[in-house]
Amino acid sequence: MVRLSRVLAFASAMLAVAVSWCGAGEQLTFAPAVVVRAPQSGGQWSVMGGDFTELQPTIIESGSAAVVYGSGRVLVLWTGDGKILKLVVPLGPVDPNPTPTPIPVPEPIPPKPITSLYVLVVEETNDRQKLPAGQREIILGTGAGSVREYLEKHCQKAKDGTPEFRFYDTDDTVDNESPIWKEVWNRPRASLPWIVIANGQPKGSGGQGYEGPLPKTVAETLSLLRKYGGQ
Amino acid sequence: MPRTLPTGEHFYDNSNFQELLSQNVQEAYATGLMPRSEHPRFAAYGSIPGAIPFEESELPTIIDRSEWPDRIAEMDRIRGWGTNRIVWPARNQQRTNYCWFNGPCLAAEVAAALQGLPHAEWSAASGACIVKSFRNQGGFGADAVAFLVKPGVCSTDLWPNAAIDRDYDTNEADADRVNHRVREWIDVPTDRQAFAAGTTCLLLGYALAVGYNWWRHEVAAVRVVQLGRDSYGWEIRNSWGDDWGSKNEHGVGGFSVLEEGKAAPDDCQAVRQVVPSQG
Repeated sequence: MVRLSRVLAFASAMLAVAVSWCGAGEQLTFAPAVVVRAPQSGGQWSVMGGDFTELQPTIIESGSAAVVYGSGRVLVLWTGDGKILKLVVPLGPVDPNPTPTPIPVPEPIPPKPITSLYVLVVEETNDRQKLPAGQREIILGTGAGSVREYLEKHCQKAKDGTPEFRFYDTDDTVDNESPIWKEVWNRPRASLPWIVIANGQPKGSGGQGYEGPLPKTVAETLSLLRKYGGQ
Repeated sequence: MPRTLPTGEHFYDNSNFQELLSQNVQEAYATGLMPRSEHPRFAAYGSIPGAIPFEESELPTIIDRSEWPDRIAEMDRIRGWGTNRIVWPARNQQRTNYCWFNGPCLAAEVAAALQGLPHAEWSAASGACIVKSFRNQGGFGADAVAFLVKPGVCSTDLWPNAAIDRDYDTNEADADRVNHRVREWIDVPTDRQAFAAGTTCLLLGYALAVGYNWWRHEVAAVRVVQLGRDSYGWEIRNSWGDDWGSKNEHGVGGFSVLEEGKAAPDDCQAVRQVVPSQG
């Protein structure tokens, strides 16, 4: 990984100066510019002026470098390969005693889609007739836009390709199931029907999840699932 | 909205059910259901140990016939569990008389799929051979479901579905039986309420193993269909291979529709849950 200080050093060496050139009857003014080089191509650049206005850099060398224009202190951010590089570049005349301005905290990089989603729905099959139509649709629906369609696409796949979701009766036993299902099954349940959503990671190592009453509609359930399993 | 049968869909009622019987006569396909009334122990409804009699199943009531159109429409709208989610080829009992074990196995496979469990073809021969001491004989669907509760069957990977052969009766096959067991099933009445009780089960997502004395055959019922104004039927799946009957949208065959008069079963078990297993 290229250290930020090396990027800064390189940027300083490439600092350009403001140039004014008078031609035949017209004057072109170039803003101060600097070339900033990233550790690799393929990342994303964003540049902001001191007043938080967004500036448009010119991307060169297949994205591994950018020409940044502006005046005053300019914040250059490069994100790629899970890294965030931050650089404050002075361009043009700079107030020697600037009022400190808070550096905006960059938006966190969206987490990678969870590929180890596990979902368990527990019901009392005896009571299926008593369920509201929306919950019956969650359990029995299989068409386009159904909960099952989402689960089949997004859940972790077992070795044989079976998506890792289950719809169990509260009286079931899971002696023959894999350890992860035993663990999910043994979580306490306050009511029925109940849903447990887990991304398959231990707590403290990115583990996320939800457990609670099964939502009343397919739309609410899908919204909940997307929160943990991506779109 | 009455359902219009697609062109070419196999449909049987009182006017043409003899076609099915002639298929048996021609011995193109084997049957083998014995009427439950002749069962030495379980002839009476509600007499099978481990079964939940319908009226004790805590289902509130039989869904009233006036509600069927809406409930069928609801199931069709959400493409509720049934034909459209059966993606595996039809079972084939070949020349065995083990239809009475194939119907319950298919009902159990549908229940397993509804639970999200990995699909495996449950070997009918691995159960029927034990019950019948390796004789190719007809039998009772109730016996098959009781056997599926315990000890269960193995998958067809270990014992082909139509193999009446002691060579497959191995320790490995025995060990696999715990992975293919029924946990909970309902003994559905076969009186004049048979069709209504079975329809209630299907509308709640339970597959049925259904035996027909007129056909001397057992199959699985997987969906209720509306055929016209106050006219209904059941979509069944047979165990005569993929070339028999109609194919569904996944291109797998073995389906046909029985009109209410022929669909009302003489023996009926609803498989509600199978034992969860990774097997």
